[in-house]
Amino acid sequence: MIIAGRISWLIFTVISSFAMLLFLILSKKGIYDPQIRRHPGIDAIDEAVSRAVEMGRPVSYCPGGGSLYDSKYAGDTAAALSLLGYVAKISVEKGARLIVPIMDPTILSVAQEIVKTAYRLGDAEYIEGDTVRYLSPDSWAFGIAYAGMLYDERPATSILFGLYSAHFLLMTESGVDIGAFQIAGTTNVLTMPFAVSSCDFALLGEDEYAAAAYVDPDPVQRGVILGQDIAKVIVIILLVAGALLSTVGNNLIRNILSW
Amino acid sequence: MVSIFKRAAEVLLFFVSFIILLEFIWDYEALHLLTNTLISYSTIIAAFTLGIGGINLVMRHSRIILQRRGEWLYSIVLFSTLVLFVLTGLITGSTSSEWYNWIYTTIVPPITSTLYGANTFWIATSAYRSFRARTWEAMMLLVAAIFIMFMIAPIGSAIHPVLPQVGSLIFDIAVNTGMRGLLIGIGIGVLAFGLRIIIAENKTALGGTEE
Repeated sequence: MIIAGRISWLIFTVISSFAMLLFLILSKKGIYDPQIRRHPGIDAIDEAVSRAVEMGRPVSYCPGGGSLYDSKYAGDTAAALSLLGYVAKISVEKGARLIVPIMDPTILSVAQEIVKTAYRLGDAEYIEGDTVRYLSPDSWAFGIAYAGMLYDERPATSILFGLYSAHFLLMTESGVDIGAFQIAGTTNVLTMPFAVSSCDFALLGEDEYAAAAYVDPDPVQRGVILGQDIAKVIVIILLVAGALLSTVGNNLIRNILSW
Repeated sequence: MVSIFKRAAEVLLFFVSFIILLEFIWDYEALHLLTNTLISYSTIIAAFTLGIGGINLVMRHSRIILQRRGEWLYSIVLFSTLVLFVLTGLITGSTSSEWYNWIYTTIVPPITSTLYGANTFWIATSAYRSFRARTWEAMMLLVAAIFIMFMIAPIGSAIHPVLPQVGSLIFDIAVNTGMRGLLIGIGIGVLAFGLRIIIAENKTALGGTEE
């Protein structure tokens, strides 16, 4: 028996997934190649890595403090790890030294695998325990260890994606202090003001999830983003219709959504 | 051989994701049991990864100490603390023993509280940079922030009773609307990203390659 109140969720998920899969298949078969607007924050990643190479300083990429087992923020962590693959690849291509500080031990092996693969494909030297570093599972201990790493290694670029809490500001303000170019991506509404105020570029909300698709040359990834936009249009229609109908005393949309 | 394992992992991921999603909508006892078992497995695997983290930490800091690199004295402090906590836990036989708790409560919470307090100054420097009215967006941010401060601080109502009301108007309508819009967008973003992972169109996120 389907649990009461989740039928509307099921219908919306099925329709949205169908839209995403449809554009994915169309892109895969080459029938339709969707063009999406480039996000300046993502374009800045390439420039930031090139800047680090010119300055002869490393690039730091932190995939946040969330784990892949977290029911709420696993998506953040997965998105951050996905983008790590891209940053590792361009760092190897451009010849920048990459540092990946890790807070949650559950993503350590995954991050190591991602970076090792990028290094192997680019014939670069991967130093065990130095490129991907486990710092601490405690947020403040991690924050202070990260700040220590910034002052010690003085990276020219600090990229922070994934889940952070109050220690985020300690990390980014230290980055400002050493003159690092900072790019952050977060879906945590409490971290967003910190990202906007202390970083050069901030990818807020869903932009973080879409970041990996933006940088991927494969049109299939862009197809999913287009499907995602269609799901958003459906939500906007429901919101506007729901607001108008509720204003005139009709609860049709509200009743449908509570199925 | 590696590619066969990777393909098997992708198929397994698809089925496990399907079971978890099905459990969310379908009230069926066997499905709840299966989901709980799967979640227990993830907890066991997570516990193992802590050991991998420990090995990584020991490898890095032992190299720093041997090469006397940079702030190598801090690495000695880290090693000493690690040994102290492990030995205390082993000798007392529990991580909730009096000795273990005493070492923890006299070292960790004071340091954490100090750092949390220091965050106030970082917020101030960070806010100063953001609130410089160089652009229209920054100007709007500055004006909104001033009204929110008047809403929270007692000085707002002391200057004029309307000031806190303007602040709550911004907070209740503009902030809440914006935040809900963001959360809806995030929800759809998670759905799209999850779908890409489940159907193996994004392998990097789980340590795979896009070779």
